Amino acid sequence: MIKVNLVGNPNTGKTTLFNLLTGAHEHVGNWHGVTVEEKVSRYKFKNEEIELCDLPGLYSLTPLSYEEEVAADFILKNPDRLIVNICDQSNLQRNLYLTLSLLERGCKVILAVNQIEKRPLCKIDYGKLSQLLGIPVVAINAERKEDGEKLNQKILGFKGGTKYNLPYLNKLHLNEIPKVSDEASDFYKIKLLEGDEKICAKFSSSIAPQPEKVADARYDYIDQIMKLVSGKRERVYGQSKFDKILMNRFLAFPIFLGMLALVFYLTFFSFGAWLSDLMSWLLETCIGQPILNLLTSHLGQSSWVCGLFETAVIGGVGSILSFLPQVALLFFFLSILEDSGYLARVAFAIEDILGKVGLSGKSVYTLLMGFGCSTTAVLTARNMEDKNAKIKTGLLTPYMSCSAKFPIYSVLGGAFFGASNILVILGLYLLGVVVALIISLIFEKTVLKSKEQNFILEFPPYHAMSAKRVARVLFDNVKSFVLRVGSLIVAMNVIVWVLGNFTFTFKYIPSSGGVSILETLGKIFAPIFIPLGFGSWAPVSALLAGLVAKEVIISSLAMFNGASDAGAGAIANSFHDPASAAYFASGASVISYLVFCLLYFPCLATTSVLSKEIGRKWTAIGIIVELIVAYITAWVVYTLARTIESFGAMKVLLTLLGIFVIILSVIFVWRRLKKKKACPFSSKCKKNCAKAKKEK
Amino acid sequence: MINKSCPYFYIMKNLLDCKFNREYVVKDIDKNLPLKVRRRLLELGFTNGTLVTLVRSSSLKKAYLITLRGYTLSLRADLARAVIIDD
Repeated sequence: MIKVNLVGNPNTGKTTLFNLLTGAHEHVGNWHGVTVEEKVSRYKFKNEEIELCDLPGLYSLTPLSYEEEVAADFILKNPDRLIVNICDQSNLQRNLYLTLSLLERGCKVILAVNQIEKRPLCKIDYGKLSQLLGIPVVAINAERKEDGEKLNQKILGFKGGTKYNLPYLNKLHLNEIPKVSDEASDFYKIKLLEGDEKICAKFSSSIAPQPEKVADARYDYIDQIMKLVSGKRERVYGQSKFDKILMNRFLAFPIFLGMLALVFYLTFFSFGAWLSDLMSWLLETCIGQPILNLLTSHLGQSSWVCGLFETAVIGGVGSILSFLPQVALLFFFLSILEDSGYLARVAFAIEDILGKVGLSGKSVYTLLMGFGCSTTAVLTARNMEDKNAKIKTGLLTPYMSCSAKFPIYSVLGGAFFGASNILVILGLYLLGVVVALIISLIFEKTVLKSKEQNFILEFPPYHAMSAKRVARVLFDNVKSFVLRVGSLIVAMNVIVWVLGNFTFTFKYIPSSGGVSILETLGKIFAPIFIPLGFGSWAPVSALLAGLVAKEVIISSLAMFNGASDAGAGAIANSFHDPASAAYFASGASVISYLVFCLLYFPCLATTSVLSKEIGRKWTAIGIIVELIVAYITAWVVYTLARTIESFGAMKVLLTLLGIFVIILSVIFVWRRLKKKKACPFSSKCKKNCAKAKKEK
Repeated sequence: MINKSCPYFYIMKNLLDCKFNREYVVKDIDKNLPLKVRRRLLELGFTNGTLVTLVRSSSLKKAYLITLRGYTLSLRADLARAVIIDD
């Protein structure tokens, strides 16, 4: 068996190649650090088994962020594995830097130059490049089948040594450094010269780090190579004429907000809502009704089996399944954002704001993915360089309203607010973001100060998504959604139904009456929520069930209401039944309930991923903070909504304005009083002076 | 923002003193920067003699877009300030 590593700079198409060679469907995107851990898969080529390992992207063998560390460690621990070093053709110069460090280590390397763009930025003489570096070079397009085979041929036929002729090493005077190890001595000497913390500690070296010297030598050599192999460049990689407008200093941010608004409108209202209605109609007439008829004709209305299928399975699952088109659409738009290369521009434009609250522009990827699914989004926080920024990003992801929460807003809000629900939902999404930013600011100022905030982000060129990719994304998300609903949600629904329909003595309530287990349990917690306006057992037990998965909240409520139809509309109507009207006394309590659902607790899957990623301690703190924040925010919103209901919106608005003005003036005066003497030399460079003074 | 009359501020010209869309030559990287970050900037190609261009800034000038060695990179202002330019 041949063991192969895929190594390369971030965003050069490693995972695309991995998917092509192994037939896997790993997540790819036009962004740095989509792959955050190593992935191994085996495949056969001409009766030879090849084990391929996809590693996260890295710039050099001296890591900065966690994912780079994963990759660098893997390469250094397995020096015998064949390495396919994938380079971006249009950015060869920078990519070769990593290749040189691999050659210094004495790895077995095949250089695969990936050329995705139809019109390459410059021509490359591959034969010459191979000759100069002393390794096989193959030009590929990571999306084309034939090129995969070309690469496989090279892997099978690989007969390379591990000694390379690297003339620039003479400039570093490695002989003057005492010998540190028997194997790959030169490599470790260079590492010591670079000042790699891990390796310096290992050999307890006292050499003064001179990274400039090493980098200069490598880049000088690369410049020499490039002069010989490359033609003239036509454009700069990662720049486009669209950027003039999309990245305009004043327009960038409004354009981004506009795009988000458009995405939300299309997904949740116009097109998405229509698809969703269609879906629920289909579910009801084609699946729900026939099964119901079958059951009642055999068992009769009063049997508990009939009740189980009617409410728990058909009613509960159907209500969630009807949101399938909207969820698929949301993921589709998110993947367009991800694939187009626009996200890096957004990160750049939003860095101003996120930097202020202690995050990095890079967090925007994690947070945006959080609108889809928090569980997968949390993983992407690994590409942050700063540990504290990573913890913060992870903790804030659950505040982004994930796709599982949308059915709650849609059904409950739709039942009580009708057409104006669009404002409620928009407000909820915004509230999540604003609360997240405030919490981040609080963390930044108190316990989780970012130490090494860097924000170094390469700009990818724009890319159009291929039809194949679109189909893949849609298929994957539909599949995982249906599987999730079909397994976890059904099981949860059945449990909730059993608890909600049987007494402690296991009597079936609809036929014999009594108080259900869930009602008893819910009544214990219910008083806590009276100040929030939904202190009856049903909404509270739905919240408890929602700890496992957020979708269960709405299906539980539907069950408690006794809605048996699959459609979301039917559930919405059921809230106006006299029997269930007591759950939510007014619009104010519904809004407060929605706010609480938005903020209160990440689902179990997210919690477990979070504790793996950022540690138990921070997960626990994060959850406690979330519960407190959810309670307070819901209370504030409830009180506000109640006052608006009783006094009218205008009066409340003006009162708030008054309070705001008072607070502003207090802050203003406070700042004036606190203001120290300005810089004696200039009023403009206060900060720099303070910094310089401190250093002195 | 930079006031040359302020004696506490180092006089060397850095990337933020540059005009937009004009090529400059990198001289060095501020040694006060943590080693890890300095090394990363070097790896990205900010070595002595490299041509760099400042392309644009974000709305509040917290981040800058820079092209060098044929590709585009965005950096936070404090990192761009650490790149010292040959006059």
